[in-house]
Amino acid sequence: MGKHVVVAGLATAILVITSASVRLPRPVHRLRGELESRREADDEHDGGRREADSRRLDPGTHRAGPAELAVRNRVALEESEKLQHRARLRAQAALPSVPAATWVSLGPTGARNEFNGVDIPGVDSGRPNSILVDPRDPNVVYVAVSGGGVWKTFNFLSASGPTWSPATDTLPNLAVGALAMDAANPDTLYLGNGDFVDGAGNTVLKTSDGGSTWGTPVALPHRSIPGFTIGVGGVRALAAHGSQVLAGTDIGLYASNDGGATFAAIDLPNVNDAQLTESIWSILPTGGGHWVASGVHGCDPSFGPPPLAQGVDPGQRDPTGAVCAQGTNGEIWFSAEGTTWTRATTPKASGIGRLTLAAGPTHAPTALDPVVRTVVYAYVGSTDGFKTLGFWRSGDGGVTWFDATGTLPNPSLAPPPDQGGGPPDCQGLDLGHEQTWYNQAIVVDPTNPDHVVAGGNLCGARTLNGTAPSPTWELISHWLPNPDFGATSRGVLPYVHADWHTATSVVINGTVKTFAGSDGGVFTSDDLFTAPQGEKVTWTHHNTGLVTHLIYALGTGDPVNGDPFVLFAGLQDNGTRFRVDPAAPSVFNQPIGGDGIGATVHHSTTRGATYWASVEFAHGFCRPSPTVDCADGNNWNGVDPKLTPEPSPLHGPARSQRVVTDPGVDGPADEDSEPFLIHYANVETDTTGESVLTHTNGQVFVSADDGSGGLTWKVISQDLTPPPPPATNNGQGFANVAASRTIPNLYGAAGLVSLAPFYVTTQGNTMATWTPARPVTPVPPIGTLLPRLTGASSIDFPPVTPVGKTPGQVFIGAFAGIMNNGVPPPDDKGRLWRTLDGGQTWTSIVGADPAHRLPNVPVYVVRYDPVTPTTIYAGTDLGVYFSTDDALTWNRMGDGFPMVPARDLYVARNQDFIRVATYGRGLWEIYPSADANQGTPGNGDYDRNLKIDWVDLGAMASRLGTTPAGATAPLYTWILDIAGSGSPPTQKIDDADLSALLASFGGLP
Amino acid sequence: MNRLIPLCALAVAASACGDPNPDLAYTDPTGGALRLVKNPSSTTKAMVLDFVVGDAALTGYSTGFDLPLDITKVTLGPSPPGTVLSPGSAPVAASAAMPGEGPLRGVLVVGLSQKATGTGAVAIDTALPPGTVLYTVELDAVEPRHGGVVFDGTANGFVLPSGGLRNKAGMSVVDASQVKIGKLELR
Repeated sequence: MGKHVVVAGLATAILVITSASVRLPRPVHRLRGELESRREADDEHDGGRREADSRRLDPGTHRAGPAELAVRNRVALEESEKLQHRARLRAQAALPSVPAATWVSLGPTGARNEFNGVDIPGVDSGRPNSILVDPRDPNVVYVAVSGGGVWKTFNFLSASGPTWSPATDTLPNLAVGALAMDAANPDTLYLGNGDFVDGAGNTVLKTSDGGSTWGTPVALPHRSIPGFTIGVGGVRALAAHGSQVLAGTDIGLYASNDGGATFAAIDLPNVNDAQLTESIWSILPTGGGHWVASGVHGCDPSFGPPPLAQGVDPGQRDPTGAVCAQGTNGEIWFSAEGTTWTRATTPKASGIGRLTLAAGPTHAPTALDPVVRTVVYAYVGSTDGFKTLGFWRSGDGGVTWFDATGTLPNPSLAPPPDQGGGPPDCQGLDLGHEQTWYNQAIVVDPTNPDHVVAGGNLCGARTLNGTAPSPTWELISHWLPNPDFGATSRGVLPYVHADWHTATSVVINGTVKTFAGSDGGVFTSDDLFTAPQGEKVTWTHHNTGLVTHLIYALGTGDPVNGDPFVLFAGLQDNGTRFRVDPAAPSVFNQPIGGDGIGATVHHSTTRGATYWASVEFAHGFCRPSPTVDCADGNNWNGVDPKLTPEPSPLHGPARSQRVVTDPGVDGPADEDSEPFLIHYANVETDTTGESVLTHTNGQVFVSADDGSGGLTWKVISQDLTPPPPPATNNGQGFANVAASRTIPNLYGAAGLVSLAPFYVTTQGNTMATWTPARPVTPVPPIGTLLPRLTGASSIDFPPVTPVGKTPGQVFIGAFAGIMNNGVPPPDDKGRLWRTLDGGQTWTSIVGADPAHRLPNVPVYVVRYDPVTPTTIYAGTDLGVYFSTDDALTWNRMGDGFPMVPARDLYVARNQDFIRVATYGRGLWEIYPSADANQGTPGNGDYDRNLKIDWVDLGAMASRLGTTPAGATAPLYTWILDIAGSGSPPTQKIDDADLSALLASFGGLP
Repeated sequence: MNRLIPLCALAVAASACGDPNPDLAYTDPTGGALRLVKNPSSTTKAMVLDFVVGDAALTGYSTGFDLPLDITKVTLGPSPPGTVLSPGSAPVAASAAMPGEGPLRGVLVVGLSQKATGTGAVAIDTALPPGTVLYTVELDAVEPRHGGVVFDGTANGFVLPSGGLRNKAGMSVVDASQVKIGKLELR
């Protein structure tokens, strides 16, 4: 690979965060990290990219390809069976080797305050991909989210806000890309696994009872195209009508005519009659059995599907340098029955990329009038996905299309100079900005085809005359509801979180209620089409209790340090959330906005605690004191490593846009740059200083006193970007950094290049040359290729150096990727390895016994127990596993943890608790003391079937008196801890919980 | 739509459409580790049903069932839990409900459990001899009474959605397929 260009994000955000010393409370907005190279972005040119061919122009995104997904699906099923077996054994008291403990969901369930430079009047949750309303009962609403499964409420219209219940916590994959309802039978829904940018999936599941129970996952079949076979990585759209189910995926359209039991691929017609692979974005019924769909086609038959972004027009070269004969452009198709499809006539054939469709009131064809009169709109993105071009409209169900972009009379105003200035956030109908590939949503008033709302990056817009030749659009929401940022010439726009992904509109008691699903969760408006002007539209959030957050990392206090309640985390586009009050222990404020990422706590006997958090491209800290509340965003300060050469903050490309060049081009003194995903590692052994590790794209830094009461960063590694000789490839930074919890000066880093997956130093805060580890090679050479694991994710050191060894010789390395030949490692090799010689040789430590082996799925974090050297914890794609025999055997840890990625993990110094950050289901804790704070209030639905009956009553009554500290079955479980115990509420199942359950007996959770 | 006049309203002979004021009648099931049987105190307007242990002794901690039925024909009367499998008190860990809304609308929902702690707690599973009454439910006919089936556990294809006996550890001792339900009708 030649130059690696890190894709730019929002100009306003960049200007804010590029100053050398940035004050974090300024508004920061996410930039899609998936275009940033990260953990799996091995830059070697070999077969390793084949596995990711279905997304091969999407650099850096770690998404399982077909082979890895096949392994994941199998392993998840095996683990489910193991869990069931374990439950049986435990009930028979025949499982002494596995600790009896249960996980507690810690939230976040809400926020008293959210701050992103300005106060945000709302509570945010994770990213929805579908929102559905039961046509029989508007109180019944489903939300499908990118990492946390499907959630359901039965009281959406409640004045106090909906009560949400997870409906899929027991399923093997909580990454949901789409959810569809059979309108004729609203209890029948179809769930499509695989988020479009994050967790992958290739299965469809069906429920016939409103989500109480789900059928067996049905894998969508692979498709063979010349040169290779591709598999589904995500289901982006679903539609159901009776036994007909259509699934739009990242590699094409699938249809089922047997109610989702089996699916077959449909090859859609393409431009120039070429046989291309499509990725599908929308599927809509237009009445009378007719359908319309949108997607983007690939370059030519051998290229497979198009990328998420960075698409090109016909004849241009794609980012790999290959000529893309047909381009990667958007297409629209229509069908009279869902099987045979025809290309629609659109205003443009090139220059366009992702298209998202919305249909108005259905005007089904009749014998007298055979034309489908349904009005359909399209949100139109540019080929590369970095700009919204406007909107199209069809009056005949998607057969023919016309431009409907029109005008925008109320653009937002530029921020004042003292707030950073810069261009307005929404000065035209380019609603999606550089993230048009990522954020698109559009919906039509079901009562009026003139009424349309579209949402993009920072704003939403409506039109009330959409069928006019040139519709008038108005802004109706802004991500920063503040006169400095979200104002137009007519007033201040109301808040809807940035990055719209889905929208729906229904009629409830004669009122049109419109739902918007963005990176901040679920929002609704009842006056979207009736408010006299866009600034007068009112929005309500519905995210309290919706624990669907995508969390990268957590920072936590520790019982040994006397601050076990302290807990904060970095969330995907939901900022840094900080726990505020023991009386409401699942409530987390947001002191920092944007993409919260890194988080850690450092304790110093001289300076007390320091909390570190990061957002995209920026570091920040807060020092708590009786007068400094770190749940308040005004108390956080920005300080970034000084890079050499330091980029100009206001001139030239922003730091995030800078080009990392080949050493061969610019010499070995490669320019450094800030990464999107900034991590921290607390140096626990530094009990008097300020040491916390972080990294740029090329070097490791340690924090230190700046001599004036603040903190600064000091570089302590060489430029790790280039891998060691003889390779000359350009490295791409770090996945993580680590510091031994017990051995001073022993630090490590997990890199992104499989030739040197880890680096270690024993020189502590002294500038030193870190030692690279050799590649991990799970299988013998295949010809001249020696396959090696990619995606090094985490490194940790034993708390005690083994006899005969020196510090730094023994460490464990974890991997989130597969081998660079595109093949997952064998199950008996897996993704967790240990070296005893400083990384020269490696041994798999996933366990020999298949019944007690670490699952062969991505491992995101590995941690030695700080007290017991033979106990090791692994956060995997399926949850937390642990070994108590120095990695000879592994078991799933505890009960009640969903099969969701565990991205970060902290073990209390005295083993009192383990806290885990998940990517989709918030924060969790295990082994807390009996008087630990209550987590997310339970709802009594022990068996998660969305009904309270005898099973739940028996589970509750038999657990009376239990706490998470108990080790005797039946175990405490958070879902039955409805009321908390005492004040502040602690975790215990007691008569108050039983009374609460009895009050809803026979009803809803 | 035109309003249809029920044929029975036009019928002269009551026998052609059933008794105009039918009585509740219950047919006991056969077999079953747990079964729902008629209590002798039943009347033509109030059917009292006992949820009892079958012919074999059992040991368990909690029990109950979800039984779909026609809630236009009956309402739930006084329904006390049994005492052998003791639900304790303050609160009593037992309930019977016939919800008119929600996911269990149209279902007789009965549950009973011993309590691990609290007033009347029982720490371990309890032996349940054959015939032990676990719960007694009373179903009162809705006036005016109309003939028809309230529920029919004896019908071919009948499946009890949920029901059984579990031990304290939560393991199933009796599952729904071993819970037998009879037939209740107004005739």
